[in-house]
Amino acid sequence: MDADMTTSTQLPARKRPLLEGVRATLAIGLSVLPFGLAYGAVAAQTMPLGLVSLMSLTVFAGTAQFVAASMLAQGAAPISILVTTTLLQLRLVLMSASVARRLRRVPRGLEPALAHLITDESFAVTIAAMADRTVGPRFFVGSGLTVFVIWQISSVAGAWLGSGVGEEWGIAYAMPSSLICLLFMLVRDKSTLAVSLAAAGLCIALRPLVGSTWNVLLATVVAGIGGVWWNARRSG
Amino acid sequence: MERTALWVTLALAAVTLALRYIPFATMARLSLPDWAEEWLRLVPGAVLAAMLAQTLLYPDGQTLPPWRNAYLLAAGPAFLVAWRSRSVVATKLVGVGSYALLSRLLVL
Repeated sequence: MDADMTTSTQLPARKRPLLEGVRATLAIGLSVLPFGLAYGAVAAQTMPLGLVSLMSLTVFAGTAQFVAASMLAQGAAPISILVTTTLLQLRLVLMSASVARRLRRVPRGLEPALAHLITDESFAVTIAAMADRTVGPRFFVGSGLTVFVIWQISSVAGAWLGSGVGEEWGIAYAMPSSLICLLFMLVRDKSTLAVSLAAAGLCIALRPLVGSTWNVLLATVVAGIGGVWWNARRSG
Repeated sequence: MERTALWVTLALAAVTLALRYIPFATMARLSLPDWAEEWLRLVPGAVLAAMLAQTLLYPDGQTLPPWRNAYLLAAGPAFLVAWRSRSVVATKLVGVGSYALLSRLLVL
């Protein structure tokens, strides 16, 4: 893990969980930058800057925005755009449920705002931090806001700069690299390792059968159930 | 065109908020059986692993033979560094560098 992250568990940052969340997320949050640039560039082909930015503020979900902007540019029917992007977003349900279970004592009025900050990155960083120590809502807000700010800036910058930024430097690979590292942080024991491997295999096996919008969700649900069953058999 | 884009944006925002907020609000209060807690514990790694597998094997939705797929090949060094260092910065540097190099070599 980053030097920042390990030191921040001991020193005053512990008393400032919001800042701790920001620090723990910065390195990973930067990988949304190329993606934000790409979204902005595609969206700017058909949308004015205000709208490009409005979508980033209100939807705040990289893949869905990218797909929506691409489909708009291709002139797809609004209803098919909505159905496709909703399917892409279904994993948010799993992440939201998982985060909410572990973040206790969130004031009710703040729940919608906190829920809005759930992304792959803030989710993974928060869950990974929870494996080591107690992490509360403030940490999560710090993490979520970091991604939020980077996303807003990069999508506007992408709309402004146009396409092709940093392509020749392999910047596109920042995202998979982050996923790889996050995975190592999340896999802590045999059962999480086994379930993750099973989910990866299932996802690929299911792809020709159910298509690339359903396979991630289906593989995750099934592999999780398999893990629960396996653990229950082993202990009982 | 702009009107369509505005409506799509607003509808998408509403759907996304619902997907994020409804489980958040219900799960925070519900008490769940042990197996459900266990399932939720296993889900995060599974989501990431599934997304990663899809990204590496089908970059941009294309199917490439493994030895021509720079996405998949660059994952080798990135996995090694992530495993040894657990550092996001190091993993990203090595991943992005390997990818830049490999994608250039594979074009030749």
